[in-house]
Amino acid sequence: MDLYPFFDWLDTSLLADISKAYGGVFAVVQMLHLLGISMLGGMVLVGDLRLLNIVMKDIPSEVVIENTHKWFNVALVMIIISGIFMSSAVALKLYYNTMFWAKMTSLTAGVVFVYAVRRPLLKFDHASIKPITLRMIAITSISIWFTVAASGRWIGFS
Amino acid sequence: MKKETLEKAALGFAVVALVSIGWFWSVQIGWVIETLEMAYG
Repeated sequence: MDLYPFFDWLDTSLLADISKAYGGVFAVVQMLHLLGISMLGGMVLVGDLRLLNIVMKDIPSEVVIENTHKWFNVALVMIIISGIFMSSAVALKLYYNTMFWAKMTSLTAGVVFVYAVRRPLLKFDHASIKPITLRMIAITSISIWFTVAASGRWIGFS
Repeated sequence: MKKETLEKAALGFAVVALVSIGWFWSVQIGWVIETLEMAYG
């Protein structure tokens, strides 16, 4: 599926006009994007490090996972909305950027992993799930979201 | 979905994701090393 028409449209859309013409608006949206990334990263780390029995050992992991998931959702929405706005400023440049596609691929993998596998499985009593499975979920989750963040930063240097 | 099925799916997803991520970053690090070698010998 060729997504070029979408990026071509985005490059000349109203969003692109605003993001290119108003540096202040872009800066505020970028700040929201970074805030969303830090919130998402924080929720992922707290939840996954709890699953690995490294932090907050005195709180049941079910409680930690339930609470972090709510804010994970908020952060993900923030990141996606602000990310679409920011990408409109350089839509065609991003289309030809390998790291952008690495980020989008890992982001898609992360979203599928969270909502199709991690979340449904962790709704069960964690004591009934094999410890190796819990550890693998945590390590995979941290690795995927690290790749999303790192490849995202790499866009700026490629 | 049954818990056993989800556990298998989680482990399968984890193996595929970790191998892919490992391959991806090894390629990137290799590229950085190659660039540094070209620049500094």
